[in-house]
Amino acid sequence: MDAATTDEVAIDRDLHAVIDRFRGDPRKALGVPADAGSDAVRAAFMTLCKRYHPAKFARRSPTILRLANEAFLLVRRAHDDVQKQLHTPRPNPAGRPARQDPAPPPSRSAFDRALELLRERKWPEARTLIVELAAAAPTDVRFRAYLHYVRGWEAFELGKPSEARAEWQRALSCDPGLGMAQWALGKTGLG
Amino acid sequence: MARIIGIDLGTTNSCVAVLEGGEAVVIHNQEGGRTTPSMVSWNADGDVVVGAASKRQMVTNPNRTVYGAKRLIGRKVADAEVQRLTRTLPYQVVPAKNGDAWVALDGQPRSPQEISAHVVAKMRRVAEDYLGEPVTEAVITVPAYFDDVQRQATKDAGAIAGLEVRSILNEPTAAAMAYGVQHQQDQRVAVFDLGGGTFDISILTIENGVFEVLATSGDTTLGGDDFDRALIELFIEEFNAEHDIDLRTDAVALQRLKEAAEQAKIELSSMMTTDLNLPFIGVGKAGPVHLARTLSRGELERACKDLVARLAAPCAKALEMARCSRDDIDQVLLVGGMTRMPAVQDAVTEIFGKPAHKGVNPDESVAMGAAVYSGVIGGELQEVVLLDVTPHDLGVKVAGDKMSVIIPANTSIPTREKKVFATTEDNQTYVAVEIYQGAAAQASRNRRLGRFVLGDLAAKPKGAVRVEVSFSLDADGILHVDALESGTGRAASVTIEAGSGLTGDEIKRLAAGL
Repeated sequence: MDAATTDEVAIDRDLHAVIDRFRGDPRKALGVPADAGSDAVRAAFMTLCKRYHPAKFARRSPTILRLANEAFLLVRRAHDDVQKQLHTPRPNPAGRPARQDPAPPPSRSAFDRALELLRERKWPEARTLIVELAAAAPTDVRFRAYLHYVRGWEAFELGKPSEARAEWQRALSCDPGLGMAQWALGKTGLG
Repeated sequence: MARIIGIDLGTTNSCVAVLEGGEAVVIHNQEGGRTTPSMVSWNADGDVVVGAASKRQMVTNPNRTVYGAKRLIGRKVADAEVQRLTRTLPYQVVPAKNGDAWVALDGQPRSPQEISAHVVAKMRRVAEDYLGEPVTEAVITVPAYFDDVQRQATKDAGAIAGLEVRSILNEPTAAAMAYGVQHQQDQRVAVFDLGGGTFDISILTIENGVFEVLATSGDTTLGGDDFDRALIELFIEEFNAEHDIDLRTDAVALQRLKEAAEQAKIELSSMMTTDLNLPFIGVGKAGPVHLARTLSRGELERACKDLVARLAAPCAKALEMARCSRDDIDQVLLVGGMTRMPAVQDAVTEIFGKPAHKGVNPDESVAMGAAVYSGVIGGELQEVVLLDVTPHDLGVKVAGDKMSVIIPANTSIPTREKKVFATTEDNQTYVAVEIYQGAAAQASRNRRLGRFVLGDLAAKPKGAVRVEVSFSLDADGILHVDALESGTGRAASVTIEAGSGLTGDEIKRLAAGL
């Protein structure tokens, strides 16, 4: 076995280890403590980027390059997921009073799953889940905002832009801090 | 391990650089120039001439001299932009089998990939002469706003030139890397890149060796070439009004006008007036007619006013997508020869509220950045990494010619998104999906990347078969598609019609002939 092949075997093993690690708890995989803040999570991600970005493997065999791509996608997802957790529930926009009656926190995993579905643009599935969440926490306007947001996309994809616009505007009137509704309006040119 | 070279394959000029001792060095060509004209001529005896030698033949050999092949690469003849372009091109643009814009030279159609490959091969030889060793790997830059087809076609040009293209790097990103390795403090920069054929604007953060592109925007149909053409149109109109001769039909006259317009434009960046003198440009009833006039900077600016006005919108969009204001930008970097034009610099100052950084060479920083990136790939620069974004929305066509976006523009790459497709008829054994790239809500108004077919599906009632399709954009922004049948987990076969229009065999054949 020549040196290059030995090298490839070691890299192959390392990348598989990364992939296994990142299929588990994202914070543990990133190597940050459970209470790490946004900056620490980002710093850990940057360090991993320097080592596992696919460009670092661009001269390797196609197999290694593919593996590196997989590993990096998982590293990024872990980072994005943790950042998302840190940023939701969103802080109250300045000037708005804190919510009077904090509803019992929704099941974290269900909410994460809903966000995940939104990100994957699986509208019907996301809507079903959000309806359940909204039913469990009737005082929390956030879920109503998300619901309008999803309906907006469903309408948009059915070719009903005016309905979509109305839904997104409703989403924003429920939660003016819902950036994704603003983004959707801008993105589709309906804003 | 042999070195990876960095090539800036420009519309007008190309440049090659390598990393030496951690520093990017621009390599002189055999004629002593630091940049090489991106021009290729086929002589009557079949010889191919590239660079300055080709530029010298532009007037004597206009039908067989090609400039600006980059503006055609990965495009269709039917594209409005290509149609507009061909009106003032001295060489003939013809459709290939799949409608791609090719160039006919002596009746022989040639792909822009092949033409560009001659320029790439020249840059390779320049690097080999300097390094004294064979070069087989390269990083080639493209405008950030290039789509998948244009990127793939550029990669093919590299392959025809016998190079393993290790990365397709965005030009503004490259310029930021060349700047960032010299100025290591954390900062946010805007790269304003107005080249020969395209305009790109990118917003990046540079933080502890990590270059992260926040947003990119631009206009692939706006560049120095358009400024030249605005002048050419002005001259042609004037000439026609005065002498009743249409120079558009005369290839030699067009080449001379092109040369004179470019020259005048460049001179007017440092002077207030310049003289044009084109004797015997046309023949009228009373014999030969000459074109001689003085052109002032003011006249140039008036002719190009509409072009300059088109620079602001992409900048505003990029700032918005990066979620920052112009005050958040620490430095504006200028790239591309066109940024030497005072009217363009004034536009930059107005758009960003501050004058641009002066320490970057607009002609060389892209190649230098490509060389820096070769160090990221090659391992010399372990502490540097780049996170770039995709410039366009990627989506599929759904009922009613709607664009269903799967990966939105400015998503960090590499990335992957999944979408489920279901059969719409009983016993349907395949699903065909059209992929598009672009911002229009109507799919057919975007760039069609191709059509893929999910085959060998189980024959079942409609809707019972669902196929999960993964759309992956790799770190070069190139699309890969794979599909799994939901439930069975069986891989569905995916066929994508050749994106760049050249098959692997054609590339090999062309490479052998180069």
